[in-house]
Amino acid sequence: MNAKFLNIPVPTAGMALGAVIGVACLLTVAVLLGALAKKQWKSFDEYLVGKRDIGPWVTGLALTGSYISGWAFCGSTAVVYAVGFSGMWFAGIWTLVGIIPTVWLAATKTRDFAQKLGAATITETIGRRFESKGLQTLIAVCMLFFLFMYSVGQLKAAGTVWYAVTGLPAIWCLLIAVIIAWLFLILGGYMGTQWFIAVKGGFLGLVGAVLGVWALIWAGGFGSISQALMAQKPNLMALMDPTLPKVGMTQLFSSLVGILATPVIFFTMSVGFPHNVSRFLGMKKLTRKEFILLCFVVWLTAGIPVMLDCSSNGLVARMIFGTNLLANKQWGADLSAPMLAWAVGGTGLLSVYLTGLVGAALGTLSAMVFIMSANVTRDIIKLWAPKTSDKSMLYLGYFLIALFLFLPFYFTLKRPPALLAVFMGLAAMGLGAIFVFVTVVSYYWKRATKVGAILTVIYGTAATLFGGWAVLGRKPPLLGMGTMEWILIGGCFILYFGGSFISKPPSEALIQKLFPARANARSAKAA
Amino acid sequence: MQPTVVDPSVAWTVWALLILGTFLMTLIGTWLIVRRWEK
Repeated sequence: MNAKFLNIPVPTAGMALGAVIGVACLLTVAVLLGALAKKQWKSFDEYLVGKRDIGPWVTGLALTGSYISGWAFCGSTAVVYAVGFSGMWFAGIWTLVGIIPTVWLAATKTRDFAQKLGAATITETIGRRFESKGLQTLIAVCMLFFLFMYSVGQLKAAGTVWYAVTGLPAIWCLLIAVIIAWLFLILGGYMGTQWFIAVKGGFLGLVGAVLGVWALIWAGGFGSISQALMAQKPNLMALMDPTLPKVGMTQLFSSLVGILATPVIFFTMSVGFPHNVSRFLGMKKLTRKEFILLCFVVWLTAGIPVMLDCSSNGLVARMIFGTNLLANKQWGADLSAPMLAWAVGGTGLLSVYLTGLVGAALGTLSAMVFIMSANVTRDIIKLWAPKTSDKSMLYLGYFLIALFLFLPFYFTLKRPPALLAVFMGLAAMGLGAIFVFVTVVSYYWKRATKVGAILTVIYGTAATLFGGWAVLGRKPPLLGMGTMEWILIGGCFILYFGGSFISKPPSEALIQKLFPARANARSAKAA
Repeated sequence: MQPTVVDPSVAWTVWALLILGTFLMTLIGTWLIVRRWEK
């Protein structure tokens, strides 16, 4: 430990009490919202999608809330703390390059397609868009696989930070949190999830902005940060650090191939994540003013807070703690964001931050778990056995939600199997690369066919598994993470468009229904 | 290998341009969409 810098504080009763009160308030709000949302649905369809009447404020905040996971809120600061400015490319400086196009490209189209096709889930929307029950089933299985892998690590940051900060075992905090999540998911369904995630999104935006601006002022501004870090190690202020390995994850900080891949990763992840796009399923038909408001809400809550979180916060944490956090073998850089909150704002800001982190993890996990449960009930069972009663589907859904919440909880306490841990690292990239084409491009390109979509799903899944091994599993790594993103996205692009061009186009009836303006323009031209 | 020469002002300038650039992207992109909004 270097005595020039601050060290991790020993947890005090005040820290533990503040964290317990903060998380208790958050969970109380979650249950209340779930109970309120219970009155909003009467059928299985309404449980899955609400009444399609949600306005721009709730939708915008829910999109922010579903996108900003525990990793985005906490892990991004840790990356920059560990490697310096060059880490910001991967840590989320491109968040707006992903999340704003998600609103532009997916908001109104998801709502319109789902309503026209009578679909209650994203998977069902895609299945009906391509007129294929087989594709719907394949997508449900693929989504389940990727979301499961991605969900496994969701509670880790919250559990780690909780223990480090309060000194209390994470098991009770996380167990109560997942039970509460189960309650609001089964009580409130889509509406309950949407409301909780929206509250969380607004809270995270506020906490992120306050901590970011506060830390910059506390540090004495850009000049002081630069001076302090240049004295530690000049490469901390470099935009690219060529001294880091050019294979594995560090390629994203050390080479142009890696850095140029980062905006593509953030764009495809945000636009392709099913739990992001699902936020628009229950949205009302927006007016022009409401669409502008939706864009503004997302920019305000996901823009500046995340940009500071993933750049200046990590630098200020490094300025305050030096390498002392890295010297801690148990938690390492994961503690940079909460420790920054403690150093600049004391116990009060630390409690608020920890509450936000638990909320971030729980909200994103809830959004994913709700989709995973519907993947089985609505997208597979109800698809092939339509006479199955809605009541049976609801009860099965309640059980699956409990199961899918329990597994991440279990793997937070117990280390996940090595193979699962390796694939988890690339699950987000794979999910984004596949579904940016299969979902959003299919809204705009009427010539897209189920053959193109099936090839994309199969290739994307196989490439992600290969990438997990080649980038994260193999020692030393075979490829850099940026190279892997180009392989993933390039292959999906070729197969999606190539597969669609060589196969029979969708039926004229479907095109008339989903793309009326373009179909009419074509008829007029022909006449 | 030549030691890397680091100028912090370059890093902060790029950082500021990213924040400004994404703000302008949001503004211009949204405007382009809403000007063709169906009544």
